[in-house]
Amino acid sequence: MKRFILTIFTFIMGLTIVVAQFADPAVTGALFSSNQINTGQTTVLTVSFVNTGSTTIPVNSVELTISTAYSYYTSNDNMAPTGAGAILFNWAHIGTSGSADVWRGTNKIDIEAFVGGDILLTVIGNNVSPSFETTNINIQPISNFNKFFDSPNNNSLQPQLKVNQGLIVCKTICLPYSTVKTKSKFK
Amino acid sequence: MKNFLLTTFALFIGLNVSFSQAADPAITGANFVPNQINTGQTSVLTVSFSNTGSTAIPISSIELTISTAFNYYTTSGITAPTGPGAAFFNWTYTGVSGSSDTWKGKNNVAINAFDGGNILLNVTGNTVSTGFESTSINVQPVDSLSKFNDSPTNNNLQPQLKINQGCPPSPVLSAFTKANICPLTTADLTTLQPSAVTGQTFEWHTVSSSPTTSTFVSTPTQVPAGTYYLYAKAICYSPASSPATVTIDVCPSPDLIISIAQPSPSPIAAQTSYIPVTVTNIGTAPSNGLITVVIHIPTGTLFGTFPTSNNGWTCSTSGITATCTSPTAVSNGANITFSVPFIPTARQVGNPLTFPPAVVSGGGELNTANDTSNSIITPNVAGADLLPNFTYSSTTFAVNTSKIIIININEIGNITTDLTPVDVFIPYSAGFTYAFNSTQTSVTVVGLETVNNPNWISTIKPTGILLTSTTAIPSGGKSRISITVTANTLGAQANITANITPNGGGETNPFNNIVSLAQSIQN
Repeated sequence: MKRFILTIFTFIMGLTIVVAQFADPAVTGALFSSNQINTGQTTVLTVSFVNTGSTTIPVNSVELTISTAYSYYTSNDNMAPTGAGAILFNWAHIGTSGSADVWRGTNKIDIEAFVGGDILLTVIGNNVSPSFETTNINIQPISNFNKFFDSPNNNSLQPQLKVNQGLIVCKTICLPYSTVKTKSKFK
Repeated sequence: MKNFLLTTFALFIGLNVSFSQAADPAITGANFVPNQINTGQTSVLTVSFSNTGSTAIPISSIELTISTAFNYYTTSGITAPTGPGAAFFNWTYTGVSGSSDTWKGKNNVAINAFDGGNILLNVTGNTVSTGFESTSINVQPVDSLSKFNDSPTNNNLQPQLKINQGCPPSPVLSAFTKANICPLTTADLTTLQPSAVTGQTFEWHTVSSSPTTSTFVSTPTQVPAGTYYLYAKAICYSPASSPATVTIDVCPSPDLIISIAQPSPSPIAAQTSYIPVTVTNIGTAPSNGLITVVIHIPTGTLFGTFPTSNNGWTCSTSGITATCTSPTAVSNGANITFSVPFIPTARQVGNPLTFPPAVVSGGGELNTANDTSNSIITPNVAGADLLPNFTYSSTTFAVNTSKIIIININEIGNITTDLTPVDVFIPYSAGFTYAFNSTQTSVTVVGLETVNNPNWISTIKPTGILLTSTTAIPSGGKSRISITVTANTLGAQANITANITPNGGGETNPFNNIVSLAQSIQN
């Protein structure tokens, strides 16, 4: 019996060593191609996603979320993110018009060590922002937690975009811009 | 004249009447009581002798002979016949051991008419007889024959005695003491037994009477010290032999003890250390035969490769148990040492290891009460441990400017890394470009800094730069990598990350291998 227990323990220890996993999903960079746009104009959000770890991220085990400052600029909820990084995910737009603009992607394949790429998302300026407004980008494991050694320090970024007053199209009489309601091209 | 002749005739007649001799020695009866005995038992032969004649038997004129069936029963050869009849005779034993058993008696007094008496003689049964075996008794005149009118019909008798199987006689031992012959620790009693007798067996018992199964010595060839008795057994036990005393002398013998000592080198994760195992012979004789040591390494550790010679010890392993053997004799007072290699794992870093006691056996030792070693608790397991951090001047960039950032790969486990490649992955960040110059040896961050770029080889990946080094990082030291970071896009943000692939350089702690630095480009 003692030998059996020792054998089992040794086996488990062996498994622990063999299956130690160090996947680390990260967002390592984020920017708007133009960090200031006018209302009605678009800009492209680029997010650098990569598995910095030395082992694989299993399918359906990380979730990447992009939440825009929807009061000022939004994405097209019919146009999912694109790019080499985006194709690693199944995307869903879970924003509610006027109250949220959120894209959530769950990895649809295993992501090997050092694999990733840029994720591109076009946004359009809807309303003038008083300053640079933040888009929150976050990635985190949601299952298979034993496969990760996730550093929390590279899971989030907050790139900023400022929406300025754009060109007002006047048919007859031009009114002060504050009385003009801007209309989104995506709406 | 006629009267003269008559007177003379009468005288002759008278003389003839007066001097006529009629002695008649006779054996008138003989029997054994009892007439059947067992071997070892005795029976009394009674012979009725008388002078049946009317005149005396002159002294020394008759001889009475008693010859037993010596093949089956015999007299003592020493004790002459007894009884009233025997007293008339001087007895002589003329028997020859193994070929006859005869008493001859010649009358030592004149035996008057009608005088006589019984002659008694003890016999002992020696050998089982097939039937009743006769003893021949004869009396006859041997001198003064004129004095006899001997009737030959009463001069002989052949009484018979049958010897049945009986309890054997007490066996006689060849010696009464016995000791062990070293290195044996028991003695062999059977060497004391007399020759075997057909129909009998020998049994050794621990009692001098009333032997039973509980007193039976089942292995008389290997007995401890004590007093023992031999019995011959046929249909019953003989009386016990004289006691045989067995003494057991202390033999010179080996006595092995074992000790284990602290490993060398002190345990380091993923590296082989050796536990010295010492077997010492504290006995009074060299060891003989195979010596076996069973030793366990701590749970979670692994066996390393055993040394090729290892002082003649050969080891096999199963799980965390090693069984080592050596045929080499260890002289009394000497010792022999061999090594057991083990490899601590990363998870044991920072903790001591406990080696349970090892056990030695074999080598011909008799004392097994001191065969277990001490246990040992090692110092904490050490291991190389790589920790990355940055040396940088600020976390903000102006667009279209560059800065030098140094990634320090620090060894904090106080163990020099081995030659296992160390990989550091630096992923790209949108809005920034990273450049690695393999020739740089010094850079300016805030002040002048020394870097080790020549020790690193870069591999460009689609998602970043993979840097690899096989140069050992000394205990407590560091290897520094300079990266030129250029800010390209207004407002870009980055988590500059360096991730050391676990186990590189023999490091044992993979849980502190990532560092990130938030950087941004001013809007």
